[in-house]
Order: sequence, then structure tokens, then C-alpha cells
Amino acid sequence: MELAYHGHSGFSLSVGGKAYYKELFEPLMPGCRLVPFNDLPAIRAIASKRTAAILLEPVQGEGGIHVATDAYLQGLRTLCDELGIILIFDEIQTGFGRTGKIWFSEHSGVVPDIMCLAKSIGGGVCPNGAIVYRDTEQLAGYVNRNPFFHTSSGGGNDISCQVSSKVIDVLLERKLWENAEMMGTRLKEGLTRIMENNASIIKEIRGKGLMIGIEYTQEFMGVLMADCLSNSGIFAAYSGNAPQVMRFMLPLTVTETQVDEFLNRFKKAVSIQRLYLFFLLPLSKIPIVRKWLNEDDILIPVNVLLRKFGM
Amino acid sequence: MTTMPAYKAIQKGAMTKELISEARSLFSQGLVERLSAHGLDIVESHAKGAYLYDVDGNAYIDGYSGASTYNLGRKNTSAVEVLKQSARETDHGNFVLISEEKATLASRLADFISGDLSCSLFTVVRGEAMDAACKLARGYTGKTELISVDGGWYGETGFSMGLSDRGDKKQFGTLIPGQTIVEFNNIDAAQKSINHDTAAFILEPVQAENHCRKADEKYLRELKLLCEHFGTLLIFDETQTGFGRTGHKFAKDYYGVEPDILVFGEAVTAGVFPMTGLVFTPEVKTFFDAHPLIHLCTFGGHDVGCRVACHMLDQYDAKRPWEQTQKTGKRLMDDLRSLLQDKPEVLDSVSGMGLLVSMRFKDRDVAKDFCVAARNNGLFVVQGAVAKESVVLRPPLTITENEIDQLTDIVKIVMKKI
Ligand SMILES: Cc1ncc(COP(=O)(O)O)c(C=O)c1O
Repeated sequence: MELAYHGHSGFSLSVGGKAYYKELFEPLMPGCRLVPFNDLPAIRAIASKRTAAILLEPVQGEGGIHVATDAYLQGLRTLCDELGIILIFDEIQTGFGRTGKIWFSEHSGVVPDIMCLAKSIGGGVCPNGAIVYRDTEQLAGYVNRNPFFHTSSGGGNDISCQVSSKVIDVLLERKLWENAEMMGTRLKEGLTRIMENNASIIKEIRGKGLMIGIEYTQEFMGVLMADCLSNSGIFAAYSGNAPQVMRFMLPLTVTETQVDEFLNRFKKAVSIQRLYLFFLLPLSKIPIVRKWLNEDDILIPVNVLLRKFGM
Repeated sequence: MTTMPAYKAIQKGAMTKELISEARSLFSQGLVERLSAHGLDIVESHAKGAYLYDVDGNAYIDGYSGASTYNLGRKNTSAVEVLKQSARETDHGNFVLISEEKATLASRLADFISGDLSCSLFTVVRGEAMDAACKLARGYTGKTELISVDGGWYGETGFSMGLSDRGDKKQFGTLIPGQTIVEFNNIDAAQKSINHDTAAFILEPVQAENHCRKADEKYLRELKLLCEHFGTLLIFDETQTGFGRTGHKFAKDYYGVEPDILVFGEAVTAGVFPMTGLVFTPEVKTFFDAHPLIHLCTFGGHDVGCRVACHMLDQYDAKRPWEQTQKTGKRLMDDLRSLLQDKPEVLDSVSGMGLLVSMRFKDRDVAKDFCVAARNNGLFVVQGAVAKESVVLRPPLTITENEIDQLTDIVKIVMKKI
């Protein structure tokens, strides 16, 4: 998918959607093609019986928190069934309760053939990653005939597996996806109220559960806001593949008080941002300046300069 | 000092059978069959030093060491303590941020590894480290061609698989273009293929999975000159040869040839934490100066892992296991070579370096039978991934001379059975 992020090793990078990560390392695998996300006709136009797999993050994380619609996922499932294509969900960010269900696929009821898991599977303690696949003749049969098709020196190491088993226990015992749903809603509502008063800065709040993205009205604002937030005591990252979007992925254990505290600090950061913009917005009307501002190399020194003025 | 478990033929117990039968449905029937056929149907319960114990209490010498990971012994006591302590005090950290742990490990590695390889990047699995090395080479040189040699094995990720000598890779479609494989130890072949568009020449100084075939000293020296001439980076995969395995800190130290990038494996944490990485010269690092955050890895430079690795580097420095490995390795090699006369019809040759030793049999079936008989006599060994007619012996470097003798005694018993 365009804007997709699956990682930086050979296969993952080849299906990645950001030129910066790929350009200097090409040629990559030639059999990978990108299509716009949530656009069923676009993928229908290029999928064929020769297509091995369709791969997507059901909520694009680095791409800027784009949530796949139910209709899109259902359409993909039908397409894959028609043409014998394997449907792969990268649930590395969405999995383990993040979006208000244990797996994102539960929202739409669409079951992928292969699901990729990592990140929170390690509970923040040990690296781990896995794929799970459907018990079909095609997939299980392949693994059965080629049990060593993918061996990994550190993959599935005993310590990480013990930790990951415990992660699953805790998730189930504490039903953390329910908290993700509730706190996600509270956070989203709070942010929406802030957006309504700051339409010149915030364009959209979107996401699912505790996977929330804020889109600013201009690309350079992501970098600036990261700075304002860090001054207000919030560590936040703008999206690698979409710098105007900032992601908030609070721990699933977050409490109401913490969400409210977060919203207070966020509000404070927005007011600092307004001051910056007092200088920058008029300037950014000039196309060449706007172009500069959208480049990290230029924005970082500008930022440092603004800070000198005590902001 | 722990006492060495006495030799005992293995009784396949009920627990092992039960767990293995469960694996049929959890993983695959094929996996279970393959494991049993190759003498790998062992279910570990715990491990200590050079030994592992199965769930039924049988003891085995660990002749595999997680593919050269457990250089400082299984369940290294102080590593376990540091791991526990670190997990209490910190966690994975944040992969985009700098941390004290990452910085300390980077500077410790720069001191530990001789020469100019003072910059580092941390990854999780070996293949990914090699992928990062190939990308760095392409990025730094602005060239595309990657050349490797036959008999190599680098991992399962995109770049690594294309460079590896494995028969089944075609089934995964068209891999990374611009990768060429030339004959190992043949400088003419290297000369013919290297040109001004070659980003990197990649090889293992000792091919662990290919009957532990060693690069010739002259070959590596000439290769280095060739690379310098064409502005090509020389990449060594030392995931199996590093951290004392060959009787030297790194194989590059034995050869006296400095690569531009060196890939290292989980021996950096002595196997208690999944961590791999690469080290490279400050000159090559200029690529990352200009293009920061262009290769990311969520669990790379994990703060817990970095702390464990720093501790293990202290242990390597204190114990200098490469010194003992020269002695134990020679003892093992001499003993195994003496077997060559006994059964020349099945055992064809013994080769390797330090405690990375390989026995090559008449064919892969004999090698398989060897592993099965070894398993039944308390020795866990695995066939080479490239040369399947070979069986690699790579016990922890902490193995004592007495334990080496026990290992060779088991090999002698096994040789009578095949
Ligand atoms: C959706 C998704 N897939 C894959 C990855 C890559 O994971 P890793 O960094 O462990 O290679 C990431 C990491 O950010 C991700 O967000």
C-alpha cells in the first residue's frame, strides 16, 4: 500500500510506502507494487491470479493513522478468495488490544490468511515476533512440507516466548482492550474539543481505540508540535511516512486521570504552538518558504531560533 | 566448578514424547518428522555450561550452542543475573531515541573490536543485520552490485537470502536484483566480477554451514586490495566466527584483514538476549550522518539487551575464551582427524578452526544417521545448512579438556553405529 510501513529488512522494505527509506538502497524486489489505501477499485485493477499476496496494516501506523473501512477489508477478502490470493494483515501495531479489540480484524470480522505480530508481543521486556496462519491445506500444507522454510537464530527464543505467553495472560485477565476502547474514546473526545477551538492548527482527529492520529493543517506543524509537546512534558512522534500526522499510542493500562492530564498538557502545547505560528503562518503563505518549512533540515534550525526567543 | 554428567545412552522418555506429539498440531507434522529423522527431537528443560538436559532428565553435550551463540556456556550465571536486574530497572526503551545503554554498548564494542570498526548499529536477528550491512554499502558507495561467494549462509531476510547458497530460494520469487555469487577462494573469479559498480563483497571468513571451509589467507588479502581498488566495501559475516569461536577474538584478527563492515551475532549477549548488529568504520558512518534514521528496528538496541551485552563484553575481556579455544579446538580437531583412518568409507574429512569444527561424511544420509546416533548417545549436533553431508561441532567455548574428551568418546561410539 502507499504509505505502508512494514520494516527495513529486504522483503519488508520492498513493500514499504515511503521513498526516503527505499531510494538509496534500490533495486529492491521487483515483484512488489503499491496501491492507494482504502481504494478497492485500484487494487482490483492490478490483482490477478499471479498475485501471491495482498499485504496491509489494517490501520496504517507510520503512514498517519488511516483506518481501513469494513467495506474495504471485506472487498479485499472477496477479491483474495476469487483469485486465490493470500491476505496478510500486519497487526504489529494494531494487535494485542491496541484498537479496542484484541485484533483489529475483529472489528470487521474479516479473517486474514496470515497475521504478523511483533512489538507489544514482547511486553516491552523481550524482543519477539511471529506470524500466525490459517490451518488451510495451502498454508499449513506448505509449512508441513517445508518445516525449515524460515529458521531464525533468535526467533522464538525460550525467554521471549515465556514473556510473550505472560503478555497474553495479562491481556486476557485484565481485558485491556476494553480499557483501550474506553480511554481511546475519552481521549478522542477531548482532542476533538481542542480541535474545534484550534481549526487553524488541527485538521482532523482519527483512529481507533488507543491508536489515535492528529493531522495538522500543514506538514511542518508535526515537527513543531513534537517540540511544543516535549516542552509541556509529552513525548510524541510525528509519523515517519506522514510528518503532518502525530500519533498517540498511550499504554493500554492508562487511567482516566492520566488521559485528562494528557489533555491538559496537550492544550498547553497547542497554545505554545499558536505563538510560533504567529510568526510562521504569515511566512508560510509564501510558497517557497512553505516548501522550506516542510524540510526537516531547515525547520530544525528555525525551531532552535524560535526557542531562543523564550518560547 | 560443576561436575560433568557421566556418559549414559539416552532413554527417550514420556515427557519428550508427549511434547513432541503436541508439536504435531501446534507447528506441523512435517516438522516433527524432520526433527526426529535428523536427531533433533530433543525437548530442552534446562542447560548448564556445556550441557543441556531434556524434559526427561537426560544430559547431552551441547555441540550446537545455538549456532555459535552460547560461547560463554549455557545459562551463564552472571549473564542471567544481569538480565534479571536490567529487566527490573529498565525496559526496551525507545528505538528512535538515544539512551545511555546504547551509547555505552557502542563505545564498549569500539574498544573490544580491534581496528577501525568503531561505529555500530544494533539489530535483532542475523539476517536483518546482514540486510542492514548491504543497505549501508549501497547507500555509502552509491553503487548497486553485491557480490558473495558459494557456500555462504547469511539468513532468511531479503538481502541475506539472495546472497545465501540455498537451493530453495527460487520459490520466494525474484529476490533483490544486483546480487551475484562467485566461487569462494578463487581470486580470479572475484576479479572478473568486481567492477566500479560493486557496492560490496560479502563473505564469512570461515563458512560455518559449509563444512567450516576456511578462506585462504592470500585470498582475503588480495580481495581486500581488489575492494580498495574499486571502492567496494568488504563485509565479513562473523555471526558464527566472532567472539572467540575460532580461537581468535574475531576471524579477521587471525587473517589480519580488516573489513569495512563486520556483522556479529547473538554471542554478543552470550545468548541470553536476542541481539545482533554491525560495526563499521567512521568513514562508512558518514552515510548515516547524512541520512539519519534511515534504517530503523523496533527492538534494535534494546536497553535490557545492551546492558547484558556490556556485561558479557566484560566477561569476554576477563576470560579471554579464545585462548582456551586454541587448545581445546586443537585437541578436538586432532582427535577427530585420527578417526579418518578408521572409517574412510563414511568419514571423508574434518576441517574448521578453533571450536568451529566440521566432519564431512560420504553423503547427507550418513550425516543424518550420525546426528541421530549422537542424539541417542548424549550429543546434540546439527548438519550444516549448506553442506548437508557435514555435521558441525561447536560446543560452548567454556568446555573443558575433560569434556572435550567425553565429546570425542561419544563421537567414537557413534562412529561405530553408522
Ligand atoms: C505495522 C508495522 N509493521 C512492521 C514494523 C517493523 O518492525 P521492526 O522494527 O521490528 O522490524 C513496524 C515498526 O514500526 C510497524 O509499525
